[in-house]
Amino acid sequence: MRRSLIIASRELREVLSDTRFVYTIMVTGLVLPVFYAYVGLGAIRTVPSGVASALFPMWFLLSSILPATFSMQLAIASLVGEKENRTIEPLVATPVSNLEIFVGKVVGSLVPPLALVAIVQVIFLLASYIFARIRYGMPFSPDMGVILRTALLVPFIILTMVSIAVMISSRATSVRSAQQMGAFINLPVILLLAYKGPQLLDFLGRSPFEAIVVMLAANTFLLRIGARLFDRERILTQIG
Amino acid sequence: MIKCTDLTKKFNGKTAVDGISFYVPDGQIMALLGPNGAGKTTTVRMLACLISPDSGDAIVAGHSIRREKDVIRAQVGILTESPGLYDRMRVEEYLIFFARLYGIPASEIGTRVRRFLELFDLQDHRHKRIGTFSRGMKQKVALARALLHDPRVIFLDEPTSGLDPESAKIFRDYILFLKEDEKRTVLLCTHNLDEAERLSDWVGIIDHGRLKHFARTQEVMRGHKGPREFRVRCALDGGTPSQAWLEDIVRMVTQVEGVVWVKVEPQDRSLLITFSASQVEATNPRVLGRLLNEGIAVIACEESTRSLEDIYLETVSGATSTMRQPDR
Repeated sequence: MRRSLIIASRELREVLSDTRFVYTIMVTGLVLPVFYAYVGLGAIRTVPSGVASALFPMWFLLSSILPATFSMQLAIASLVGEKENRTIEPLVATPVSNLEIFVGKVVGSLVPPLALVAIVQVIFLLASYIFARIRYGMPFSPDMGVILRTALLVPFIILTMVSIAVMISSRATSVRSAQQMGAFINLPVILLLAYKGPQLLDFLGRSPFEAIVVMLAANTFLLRIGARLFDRERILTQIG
Repeated sequence: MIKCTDLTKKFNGKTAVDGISFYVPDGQIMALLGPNGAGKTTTVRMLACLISPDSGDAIVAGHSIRREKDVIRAQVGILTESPGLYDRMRVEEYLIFFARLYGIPASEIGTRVRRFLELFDLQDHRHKRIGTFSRGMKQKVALARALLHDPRVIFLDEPTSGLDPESAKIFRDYILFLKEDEKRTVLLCTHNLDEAERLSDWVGIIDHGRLKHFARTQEVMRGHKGPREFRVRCALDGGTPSQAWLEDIVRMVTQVEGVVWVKVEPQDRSLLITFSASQVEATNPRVLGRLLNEGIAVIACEESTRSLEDIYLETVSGATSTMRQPDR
């Protein structure tokens, strides 16, 4: 997997050299969590405290995932973008395996949303504390166990989303079509989290080891499937 | 070494490459010529294990393109039609990236990268982003990438397009060095027939997916069909020669055993006799002897070669289909 890391580090360097992308992500990471905290606490303070304590972790989970979906564009363009720029041929001409290329693209596309999520979570918690205590005069005492479980769960969810996005990128014929298909990743994931998020967090709380094993196995399976679907010939020759 | 056997590739039912077979021994260069869309790039992509053939097989650097793809990819260098560079990367960084992907030991990467930066006169630009380069500069970077891992077989698709004459010469000299000193095998796809003539040992002409012509370049240049042609230039004393005298010369040369046909053309103060001979070693001395005996002053005698362009145009217009295989 050493070659995957070489590919991933090139992807990252390329992303970091794009100042417009970096600024957009930084602004997203700084502004959105403050907005989510303000809106979320404004709504939560109107409900009974029991409901509020149940809603806050869910709002934290969704607030963590939503900004990450913005940086999903990297994963969506990772392979099909290289095809459009005609840089894919020298890459697939190297003795790097399909799995190494696929994993390299996933890892390279995973780091920016993960970094963003970490920033978003810290700022969200800080902003929530400030709005609760200063703006609304409420006590701020979230369940730290739930917060930690959410922080653990989110990277796995993002890994799943990125893997699917890279898979789409490997099968798409243009960046535009990949973006259209990519829109179908974000919505189901967010709906699923809104619907099943509490159960996921509960499962993680009750059986953390099993939950992590299940999530790791699911993501490994996804990476294998993605590598199998990645077809050098198809990406070079398919036009429409 | 490259040995293709009946290589065929179809895309959506349309045949792109149709049963191509050829053999290029180690340390030799084959020029693959053909119009746009003839199947050159598809052939190269199959041989470089980027796409799989529908039928047939090929041995590249001693390995089958059907069964040993990763081994072949490590031993071939490919310069694609488009340079395919990451515009945001800096030249040195780009070459190091590919050196690592090709598994060059870390201790050697710096030396190799420096060698190619110097060879292609890129050392002063090594910290510049590739996106700021001209087409020719980008082509140099792509060439450096293709040769960086010291490949045994090299596929070059239009390698000197976009290069200035000086860089093109450096590149051609390097290709000859790779062939002669390093015994590398090169498959060169080009529209530059002069380049093909100068560099290649073998010429293949592909059209509509079929290899219509494959032979040694020297044989092609001598005339790929029929007997060899020779031109004799003679001094012409006095004014314009009479038609009867010219006909006498034609008759005299035609009577020489082994001569197939003769053409005589008076030119500015000289006479050009063109003839073709089937038994060169015996016929040519007889022809020259007969001319000298008749008191005709022979100034020069040379083998008549046709340009590769003539052969190419003749072949792609559908006139011929000639195949010669070397001894294996």
